[in-house]
Amino acid sequence: MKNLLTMLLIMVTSISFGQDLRIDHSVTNPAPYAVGDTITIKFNTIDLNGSVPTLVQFDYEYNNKLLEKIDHTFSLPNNSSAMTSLNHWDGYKWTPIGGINPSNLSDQYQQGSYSTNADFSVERITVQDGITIAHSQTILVVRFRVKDKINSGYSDYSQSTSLNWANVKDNSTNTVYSTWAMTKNVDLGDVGGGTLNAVTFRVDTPISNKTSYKYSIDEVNNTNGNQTVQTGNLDASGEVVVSGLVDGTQYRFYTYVESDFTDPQNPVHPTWLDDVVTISDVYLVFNYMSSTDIDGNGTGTFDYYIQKQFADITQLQSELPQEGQPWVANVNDNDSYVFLSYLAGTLPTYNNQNGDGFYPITSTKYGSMNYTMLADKYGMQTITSDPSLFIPSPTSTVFNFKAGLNGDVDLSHSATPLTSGYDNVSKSARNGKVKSASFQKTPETSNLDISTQLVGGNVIMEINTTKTGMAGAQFNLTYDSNILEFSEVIFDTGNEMTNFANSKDGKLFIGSLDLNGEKTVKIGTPYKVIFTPKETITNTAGLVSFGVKEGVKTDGTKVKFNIQ
Amino acid sequence: MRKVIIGLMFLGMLVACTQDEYIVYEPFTIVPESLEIVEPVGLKLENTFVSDKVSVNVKLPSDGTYRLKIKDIIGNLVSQEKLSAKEGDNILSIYTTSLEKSSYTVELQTEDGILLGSSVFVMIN
Repeated sequence: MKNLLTMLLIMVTSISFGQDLRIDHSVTNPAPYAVGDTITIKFNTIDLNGSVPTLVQFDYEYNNKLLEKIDHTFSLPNNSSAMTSLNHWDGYKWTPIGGINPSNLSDQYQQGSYSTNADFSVERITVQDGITIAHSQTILVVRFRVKDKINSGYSDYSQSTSLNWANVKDNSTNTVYSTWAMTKNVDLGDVGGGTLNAVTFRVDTPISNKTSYKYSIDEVNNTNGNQTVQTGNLDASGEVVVSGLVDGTQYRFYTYVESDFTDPQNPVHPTWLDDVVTISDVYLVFNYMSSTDIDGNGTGTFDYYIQKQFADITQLQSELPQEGQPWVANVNDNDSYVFLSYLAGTLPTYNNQNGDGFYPITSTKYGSMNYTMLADKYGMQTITSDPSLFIPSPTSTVFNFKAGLNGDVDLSHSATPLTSGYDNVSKSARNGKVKSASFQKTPETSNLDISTQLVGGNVIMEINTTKTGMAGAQFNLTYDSNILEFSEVIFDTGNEMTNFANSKDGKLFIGSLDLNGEKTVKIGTPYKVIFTPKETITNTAGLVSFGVKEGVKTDGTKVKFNIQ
Repeated sequence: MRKVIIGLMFLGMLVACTQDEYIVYEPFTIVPESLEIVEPVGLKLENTFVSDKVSVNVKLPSDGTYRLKIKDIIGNLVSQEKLSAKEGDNILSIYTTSLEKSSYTVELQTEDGILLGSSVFVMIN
């Protein structure tokens, strides 16, 4: 027996030997928890082997279907001058590398990988100091609100949060410490149900940064007018749970992408809005128009009626829907050429004060053009009433909405309607039509080589592709305008393509499109961009970054480029 | 007199035939302590926190063409430089103004895609 105990002691010692420290993350509030509760999770290190780190960096993830993040606060009472950072991403989940214990956080560092998963959000915590970062002190506290697991797809709260990897070292000696998870996953145990007063709104949108959407709930009162009763941001899963709504009262719910209007004359819109309307949207509109007669009566079709609404960007005021009337969209040549001019950067300057030169194209130029409708009304041609009204009751506490952005004809950043949305008359009239501006919702992927190089004192960026059959291509680039000046683009796309290059404020949009969808972009090096440095540089890493990089095939299918 | 002239000619030939000696100094890179890499190859950033640019040492096994890749959290390439560099230490810069404020991984690869080193940096908001 004594020998057995000795053996066990040796085994335990051997297992724990080699671990320098552990990262603890745990809930500070006592269990049990209920839906709607606020919980606090704290993070700290625990020393095992005399470690003296000056850099502590780790990733963790949380299930955004089960938890809504409220806020976070760095604590670090013993390292008050430390540099701290928290990076946040929605829509990703960690996959540990096989063969290494997932709790061995330092060995997982840069070994596993992230993949897209809308149910999870990732946060990266970095702390660096000139002195040792003390152990057992609270590094960070994060507050979450507990959400109802009903219809979430999860049966329990066993993996509400999870540590992914860690990089802990002493920068002064370059000593990397073996770091393990003290608690790999936080399990909330049995969570009590929420009250009926908690009304849930679920907004279907394909964008990854769903928290950039603001919501507003207005009480609809025909006597005293409408009054906003609730506002805020959607959570990472595109949901919000509110209380205080009155049973039987009519409300309107809508969402919009928030911009910074601190200076009303020069609003700042999120940069990702420029990813919404791209070459594939424009191509779909031209494809539609190629089978529509000159009066716009139309033989062209879209898969969904809402695409027609999103394409109708030159809609007259008189065409806007009146109370009790359906929304009639009318796409014509003007729309297609305004789209093309938008990409080429040749639209007139938009006057923010009097509205001259305004087109409702979702972009950083005009802002977001938002559609929010109840899911069963979104994109329906026959809708004749406000599609955003709802009345909560004890039996109606969950409301599903869909959100879209005007100009997004290929629905890359907009929800897909439940049905095509065409009314029966239009639907039957579609039979036997000549050419459909149809598209595959699932894009193709193709490898692409883009790199910058310092050649003869200039920064040369070459785009090389072997993808054939593309009627158009588009690349949105951002360059460091403090260091580089854009000089020119050398196109080698073929003799009959319409090429464009549009540069402004460190952004550069380049691309090509054959308006008839008959010619294709030449393979090889169709685009070579030349920048002139404003100062002496020895290399080019990071001077140009790549945003939108996509093509569109002659059949309308989007091609997403995977840069090698 | 004739002997003197012959002697001078002989001496002149000797001098003319003597090979000039040049000492060629290999250019060397001064590597700050914060960028020293002990291993034969690798990549090291001067700092984990970055505002507009950060110095980086790329230590290479031989002269040639390499790739400096900047990747986002999911591994998407957001910026890439094709770099001609020499064997040993190369002190370069990574510029970050064109990048969205976030955290990235910088990788050093050969033209064949072999990873020689990588590091994570965080942009200061």
